[in-house]
Amino acid sequence: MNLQTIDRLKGLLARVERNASKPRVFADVQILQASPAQGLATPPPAIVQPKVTEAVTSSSPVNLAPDELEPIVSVAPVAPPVAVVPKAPALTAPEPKPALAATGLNDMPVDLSPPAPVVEAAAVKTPAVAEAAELEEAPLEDVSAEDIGLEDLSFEDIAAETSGQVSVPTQTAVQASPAPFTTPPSLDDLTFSEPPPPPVESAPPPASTRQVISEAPDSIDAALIAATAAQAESESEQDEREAPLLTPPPESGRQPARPSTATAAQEATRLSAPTVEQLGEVVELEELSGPVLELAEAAPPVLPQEPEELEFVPQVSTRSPDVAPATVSDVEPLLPPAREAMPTLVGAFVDELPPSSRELETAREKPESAPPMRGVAVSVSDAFSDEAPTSVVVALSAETTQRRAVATSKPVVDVISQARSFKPQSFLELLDASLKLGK
Amino acid sequence: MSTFDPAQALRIDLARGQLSLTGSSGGSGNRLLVPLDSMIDLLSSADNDAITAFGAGIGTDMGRRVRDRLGSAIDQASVELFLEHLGGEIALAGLGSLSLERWGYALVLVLEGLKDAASLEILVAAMLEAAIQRALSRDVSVLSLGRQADALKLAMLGRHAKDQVEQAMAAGKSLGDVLTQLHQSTQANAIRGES
Repeated sequence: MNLQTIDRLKGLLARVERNASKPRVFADVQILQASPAQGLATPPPAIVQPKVTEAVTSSSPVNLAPDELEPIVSVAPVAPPVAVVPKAPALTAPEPKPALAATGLNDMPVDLSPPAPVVEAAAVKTPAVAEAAELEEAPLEDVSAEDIGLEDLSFEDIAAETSGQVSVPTQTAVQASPAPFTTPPSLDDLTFSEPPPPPVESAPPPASTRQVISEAPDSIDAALIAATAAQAESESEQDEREAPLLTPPPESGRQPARPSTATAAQEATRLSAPTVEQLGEVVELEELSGPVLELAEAAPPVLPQEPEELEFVPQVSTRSPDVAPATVSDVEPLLPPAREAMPTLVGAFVDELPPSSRELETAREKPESAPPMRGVAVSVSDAFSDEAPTSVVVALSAETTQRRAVATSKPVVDVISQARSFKPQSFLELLDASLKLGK
Repeated sequence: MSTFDPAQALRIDLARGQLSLTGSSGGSGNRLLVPLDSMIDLLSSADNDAITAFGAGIGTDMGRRVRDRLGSAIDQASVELFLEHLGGEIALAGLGSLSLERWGYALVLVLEGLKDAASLEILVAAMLEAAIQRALSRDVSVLSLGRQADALKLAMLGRHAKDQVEQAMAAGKSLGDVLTQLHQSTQANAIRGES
């Protein structure tokens, strides 16, 4: 809702308040016909001339000035004048239902192509009714005329269809129909909120906007039921023809039709079933008849060992002279035997290992909380070699044997005391005790 | 109570050619210094009663001297004190070093350094019985338990007990078994007497 609409609504509200104390009047609807000669290119503005008539329920007629009457509904293209007289029964309710009329007009596709008739239905009976009707005018501005494919229809068919479509709003909006045309407003009083709609294409409207043309019902309830049934039928038909829309815009044009299930099944069968050319000659293979092949587990891959950083003073000369000089990785396996033979080697303890050797030993053997180890500088010499003995710094590690814990439930200390009841204080006492023996 | 003091106990008068023991009673207290082997030969030719009488005479003199030194408190004299005085007297006589063992209630005196001779054992046993009799007025039967190394063990027993031990040891029982049996018979008799 734009600002212009809001301003118009505000003006309408002010006018309604101003005319609230005035007696009610009813404005009839004048249905104009568009001239076929004017065409769709420059459609003249539709003229809705409210006719001030004497109110049925009002005792005194009120003549409204033409400027006070504001057209409610206008349709730009003017078709050949076709007067559609609604066959709706007279309503007993004094106040029409402009909402129904406006809604019906909104949803109603109007074919303005010649010689399509233009159906106008509006009612301005009282200021209150006019207010309600104008409130529904704004959506009409967005109505665009579309072709519903009525070129081949005759005038009677169109009349029959339109009569059914406009029957409800006509019933509700026009109370005193048919009413004489009294004071048609001038063209200067007509207002148009939008330029005339573009030329209607010949393409059929989308299914979502199609309306079902039916017979005019006898009552509002019948009309509602018929409209509901028609809507349901239209939807079901639409579902059968169109593929489901994931995010369907209301007017997004035609959707690709969903292939029928039978056709899809045939296509799937055709694609899945191989042809004779594809299959070729089928050769049956004999069953496996032979010893079961057992595969042994593959040996773990031997990763190349990178030389570790051990600091040796010189190179170990435990190999024969004709052998190439040993690398660090070759010397590594020789360390444990060298430790076992340490007592026979000439060596000297050193307080601290070189940093690199100490870190290496720490990473290999020593727990984190172990005390620092001492190293021994060992001179290793080969009996069959003439080379001078070389020194190798080998870290010493303590081999600890823990005593097995003793678990016993008996007391460890067992003292056998001897009761010495007799302790002579004098030699005579001892002598007397000894003399009493055997008595 | 004084301890044993051997000072000036033996006096040798070279001018008179006499040897005397201080505190000895009976005459002048003169002593005869003779070779031990000659003494043993003499005793070997004598019978046991002569040897016992000879030894009792020596022991009575010893007991009198101990009693004289200890006085009236000799009955309350401790084992060590009495042993010191008695042992001192035996040492002055040249008969060895005296010690004491107690096997339960049994009192056993050990004499070391005594020449191994049966006549000497009889002589020492009679000497001890007389010394105790003179000092403490108790009749003691000394039973020789034999020698162990260089020590002669002598049990101070009553007469009845002396006979039992002699029979058991003659049967081949050890000293321990004999003394244990002696104590068991003594307790049984005591319970029987109380009841």
